[in-house]
Amino acid sequence: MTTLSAHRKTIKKRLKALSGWALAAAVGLAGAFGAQTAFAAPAPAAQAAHAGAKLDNAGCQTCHDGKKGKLEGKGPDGAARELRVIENEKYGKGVHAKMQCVACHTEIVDSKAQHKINPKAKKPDCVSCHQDLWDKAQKENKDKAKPRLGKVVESIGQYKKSFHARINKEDETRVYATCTECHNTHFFDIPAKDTEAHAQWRLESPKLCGTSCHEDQLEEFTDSVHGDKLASEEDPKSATCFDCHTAHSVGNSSAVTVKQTIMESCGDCHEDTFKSYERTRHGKLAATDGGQMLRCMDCHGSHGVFTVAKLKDTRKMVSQDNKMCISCHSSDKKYEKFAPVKIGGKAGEKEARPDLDEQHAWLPNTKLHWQSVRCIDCHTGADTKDSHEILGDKKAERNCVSCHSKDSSLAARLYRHLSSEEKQKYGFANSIILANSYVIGATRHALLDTAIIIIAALTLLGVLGHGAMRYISAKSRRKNEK
Amino acid sequence: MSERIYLIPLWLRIWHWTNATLILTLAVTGISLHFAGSGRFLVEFSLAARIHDIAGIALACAYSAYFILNIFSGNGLQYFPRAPVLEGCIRQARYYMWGIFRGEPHPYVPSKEVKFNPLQALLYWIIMYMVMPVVVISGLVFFFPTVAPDKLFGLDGLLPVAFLHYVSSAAIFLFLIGHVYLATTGDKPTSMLKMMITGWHEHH
Repeated sequence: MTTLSAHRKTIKKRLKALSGWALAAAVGLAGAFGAQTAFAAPAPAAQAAHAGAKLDNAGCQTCHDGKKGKLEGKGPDGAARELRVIENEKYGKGVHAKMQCVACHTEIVDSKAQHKINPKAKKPDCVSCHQDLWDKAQKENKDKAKPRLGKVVESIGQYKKSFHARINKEDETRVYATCTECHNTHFFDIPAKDTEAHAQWRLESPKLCGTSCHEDQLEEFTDSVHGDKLASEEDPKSATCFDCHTAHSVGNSSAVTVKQTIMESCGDCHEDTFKSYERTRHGKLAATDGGQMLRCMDCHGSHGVFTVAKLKDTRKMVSQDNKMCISCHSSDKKYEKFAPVKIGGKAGEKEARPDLDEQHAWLPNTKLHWQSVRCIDCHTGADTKDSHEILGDKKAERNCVSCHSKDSSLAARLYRHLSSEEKQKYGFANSIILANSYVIGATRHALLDTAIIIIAALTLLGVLGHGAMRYISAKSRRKNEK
Repeated sequence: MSERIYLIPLWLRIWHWTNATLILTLAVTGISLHFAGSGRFLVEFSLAARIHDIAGIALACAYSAYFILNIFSGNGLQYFPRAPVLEGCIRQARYYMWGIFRGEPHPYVPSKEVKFNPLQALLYWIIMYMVMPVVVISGLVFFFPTVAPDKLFGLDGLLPVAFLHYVSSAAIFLFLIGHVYLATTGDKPTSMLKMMITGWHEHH
């Protein structure tokens, strides 16, 4: 069996061999400046422009600025293709703006259309260049003045250990992803943190991972609460891919350690929720070694984290939320997977799965309740801060009247997601609940109740009055008879 | 000299007292459910719900038995108002509002052929053949909520069922108050109660 470190060594070796390819491919210039690429003869006007052009950025731009009409070259397969264009303005805004094109494209030795190629030229790569720059800065004691260089080297170190740096199983000639598949080398322009530009960039960031590699995940994410906040509400604080997966230490998401890290990152934003979760048996299981445990994503999913509020239909909300709970609590196999040990029990002691029906035997119309309200509507407190503090059978809500009354707590629980709608429709108390479910005690009509109480009181008074008159008249008759 | 006739057969008396017990139980638990959270004198909700369910099923069974036995025994015909309905009702109502205070005799004396006075027959007929089926059927729908329409006027489709159940049961409750009181209007206040236990009607 290959050990993890041996596997890493193999990757390292292959990476070294592939590093040249990686940069050239990802830089996106392989076609334009790449080795063995022979340009077709440019149009006469362009040819004229070449004459006397220097081998500096301005010289390169005489052809590659995209303003000289349609220029065609030949790709590696010999087929004609458009000449690659580097937009000068965009390039000027990137971190590499001060570099000469030929500092990376060392194989280009002249400014003529045919471009003489130096076959012995060392192919450029991000890793060695950045490592050299950092080593040099350290040697010259300029490392403190150039902290970003250190950060890049650190990121490279993280990348080398990441899932992206592993050999692609479907194509063993390459790794899963290289630097330039995420970072555009020419326009490398991730804005500085805490700037308006950075906020804007975050809104677009899911496409970076999703568009060419992780399409399915992007689709799921776009519909999720996080994706929706980024796209519809344009809230840059909403989570994007790298907030959970990190930018460079992207791990195999099925690995336990990666899951644990991702789960903890949920707590970075959802602080109260996470704290309330940690207090629960679920949270305690996640902190215990020995199994799959129950983490945020085990209930909420990973990319498609949905919020019930978006569903606008309580039956769908109930169905979605209860599925999470019931799928584990009604299956011995799943229950054992997530609760392999008994909290507070002896070593190796397993937690027995309590029977849901037996636990809810006290609850009238159990199944109807499960279809109409969420498990968490009884198994959490009404305070949204405690929304993840799942209460066990002893602490959960057992007072029916807390829902089945005029001041129904359902309004603050399941129905708070619909609270913007009209609340006193047709004179009913809690008409918002009535729109979905008739809940005895909660969905009362004040006027009807009052009318019935008054009629009953009058009837009672009527018969009592009648009785009193009968008694008095009988007494008076007896007196008269005497 | 008193006249004594056997008026109420055993099955009818058993049904009457079963029905009375169940309706009282259903009224107490029903009020506890509908007005839940409004007072300490109400029965605890989940207990009330269970009792109401069981008593409701029992009432449906008792009513079915009553309905069938009424057909086979011919007792059912007693409830159908006899002409002239309005005149008879007015005569009986006049007695309750006037004659009863003056010690006048009952305008209609029960016999084996005609047990009820016109007002009594009309009310029993309305309650037993019109209101009771509504309360029983609407109550049974709660056991099978999918029978009700999913939505009606933007509200839960169970609402009209609940409305019918509430209003019809309130009507029965009002009838109960009047019924219990009018049971004291016999020769003696306890005469009719005695008749409903023994089955024999005594008339002086």
